[in-house]
Amino acid sequence: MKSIVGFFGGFCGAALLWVLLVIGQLGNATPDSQWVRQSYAYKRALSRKIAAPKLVLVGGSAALFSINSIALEDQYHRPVINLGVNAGISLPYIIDQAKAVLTPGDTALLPLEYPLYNYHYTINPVMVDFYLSEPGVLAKQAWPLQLKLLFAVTPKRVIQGYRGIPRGFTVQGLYGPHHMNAHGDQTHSEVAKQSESQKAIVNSLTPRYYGKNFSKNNEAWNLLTSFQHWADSQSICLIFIPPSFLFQEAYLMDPVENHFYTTLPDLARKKGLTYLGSPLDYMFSPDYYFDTPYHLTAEAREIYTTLIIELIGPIINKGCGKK
Amino acid sequence: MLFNSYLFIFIFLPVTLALVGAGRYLYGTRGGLTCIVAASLVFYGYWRPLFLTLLIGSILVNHQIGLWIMTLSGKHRRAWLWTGITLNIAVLGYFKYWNFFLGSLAHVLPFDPDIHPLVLPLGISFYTFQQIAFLLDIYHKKIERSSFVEYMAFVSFFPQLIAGPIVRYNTVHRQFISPEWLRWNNEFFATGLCLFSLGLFKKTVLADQLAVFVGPVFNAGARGDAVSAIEAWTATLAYTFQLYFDFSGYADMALGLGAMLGIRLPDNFKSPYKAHNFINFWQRWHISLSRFFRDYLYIPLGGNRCSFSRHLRNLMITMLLCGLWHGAGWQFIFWGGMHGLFLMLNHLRISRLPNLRMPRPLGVLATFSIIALLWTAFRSVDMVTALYLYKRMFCLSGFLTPAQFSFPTFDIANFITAGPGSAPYWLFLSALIVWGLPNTAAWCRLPQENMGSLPVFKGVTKAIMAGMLFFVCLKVLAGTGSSEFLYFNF
Repeated sequence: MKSIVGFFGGFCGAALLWVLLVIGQLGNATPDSQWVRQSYAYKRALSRKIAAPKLVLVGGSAALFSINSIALEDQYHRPVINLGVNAGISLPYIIDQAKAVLTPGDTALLPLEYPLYNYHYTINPVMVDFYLSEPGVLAKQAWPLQLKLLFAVTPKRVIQGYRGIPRGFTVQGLYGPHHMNAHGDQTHSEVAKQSESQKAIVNSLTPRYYGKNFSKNNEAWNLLTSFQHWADSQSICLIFIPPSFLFQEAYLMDPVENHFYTTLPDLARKKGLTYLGSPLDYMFSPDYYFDTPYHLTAEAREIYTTLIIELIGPIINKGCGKK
Repeated sequence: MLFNSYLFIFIFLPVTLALVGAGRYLYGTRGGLTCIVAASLVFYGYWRPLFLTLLIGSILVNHQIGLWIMTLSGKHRRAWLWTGITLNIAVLGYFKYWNFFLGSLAHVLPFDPDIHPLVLPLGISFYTFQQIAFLLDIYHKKIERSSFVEYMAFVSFFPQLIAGPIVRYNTVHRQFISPEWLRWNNEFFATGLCLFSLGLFKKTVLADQLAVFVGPVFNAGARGDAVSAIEAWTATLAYTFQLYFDFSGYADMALGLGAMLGIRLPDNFKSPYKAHNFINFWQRWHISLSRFFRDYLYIPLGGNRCSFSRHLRNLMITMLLCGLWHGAGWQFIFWGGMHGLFLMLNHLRISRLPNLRMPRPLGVLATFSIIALLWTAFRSVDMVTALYLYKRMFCLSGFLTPAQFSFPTFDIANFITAGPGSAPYWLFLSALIVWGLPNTAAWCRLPQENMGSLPVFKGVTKAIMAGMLFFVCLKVLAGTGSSEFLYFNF
């Protein structure tokens, strides 16, 4: 009997030790999450400079890469901030950041990536890294997510957390505020700047079976309807629209996938959200994309932005979001 | 269902333990065995329900033939024995060797074989051998009784159904019918927890990390891409350790699960890389398979109770068939043949030059080196790939450049994820475990030989360590997910 008690004691001891190790480095920045952290800091700083009612693009990198904020600003004569950074950090943080930036009278345009509609305390490595490195973020989350994050964090990530940011580290590469314009839109995504490997990646992409894994009863809808109630109370208009997404035959031919895309807008409307457009109308061929199935090239961004202007025009012109 | 999955650990296992415990308590042996059979069928059917019919059909046919052998006399017994063996080998042969046979024939004869890829039913090699052994043991009057539920529990017993150890009927049957089996045993359960945890650690932490250094090199070799000598040696050594940790990890888990259910399964590994010659290696590696071949092939062929040349011939036949059992491919036949050759040389040395002995450490090193080299063929998809890699390993395609000898610096974050450059450290750790630590059964204090006695696991410190390792395994599984065991392919 002593051995059995010892075994479970050892198990609980190791679990406790692990939790203490993780807690010991909470809030410590890591190199991997720096581009997300700095991008949000940059965008929040941009929004603080604006006093008038504004249009805010809320989402992941689909918003970052695929919408021309200047064209929207010219069309609707109001300041536009692109708050899109990375869908990997998931819905709780994206909504939290949107709430921090939105003020009464604002309009938020949400081209959310499809996995975000299926969020159910779902975690991924980007999210684990980011939620543990941002001070206070983990504490704000629901307990199922907290437990998942604490358990999913890898030993490598814990070591990185203790090591912190190496001296002289700067964010480099395609992603980060150094490649964003004064509205927060992505720059350096022109076709001319696309590498052969990026082209190859886009051309080799296979269908993503979001419909297969989709559940109508998940935490995403609770978060989104709660966000909608908050927005209503603040006289903020939320408009959900389809993101630009790489077209695949499976989205037409596979009944489950097709059903997902054709019914998502109605489902959102039933939940009390304003969802405009049909996802299948905003899917494009590989030559429109830069490096992922959500990232349009700078040239294709103009086409998608024009379609979005046509889509949201009537509702914006009716005065959505204005006090 | 995989032992190294959350579904198995948190749902299947607790439910099964509770059901079998309740079955034994309420309805005695029959109740316990019925629950074991039900759980085992769920376990097997979860993978591919269709092959349950093959498993159940095979059990029904073999049990019936066994009863006929038991009750009939004279030449009828012999006829049913051969019918049973032929049927078993025919089914195994169809799934495992038919395409290989057709493909090989097409190389010799001018015809175009219509080859359809066949899915090998999981565990078929193991449960077929187990049932052949059952028929032979009945024929030799080593088994006197067998009810259907006892037989079904013996064949389908989920801890050993997929990848062994290959168990003899009497080994588990006498435990099933023992009054001791009806009582809960804390020591059995504690030993089971320890064995399962250490096995899980070998699989998820050691074998799966070593796999990172193996697959890319062997795949590159199969494509004919450039592979350096250092890469080829690293992959070979990494596979040598990976296979051991993977397969012995599975065996430890099987023994652990058996112990949790009150059944002592036979050991399958005894620190095989500590072997100082090939004879010693086969007394330590996949012991249940070695014993099967020894008892049901080597000895019936004449074993060593015949002329020396016939003895050597028997060894070679046994090892060639052992190679073929592992898979339908010339690389397996080569592997088996080479093991046969080194066993023959070993016996020749003992017979002709009894005073010529190598110092033990040198013997261990030499045996390990040759065995590792032979694993290269075993892991390769075909003989062409194996030869390609051997050429690279021995610099037959060009010498090493000094730059290839650079030794990577140690980085703990890189090491724990088996990142680039961490291979030497993983190999060093593996060597340390293999040669510096006792094997799992010894660590958990399982009596090695006395099959009847209860395993004893004492020592709270070891229990605490096993519990901690179990947590580490669950953590790793959360990040990497479950991976199949290598011996599922055989």
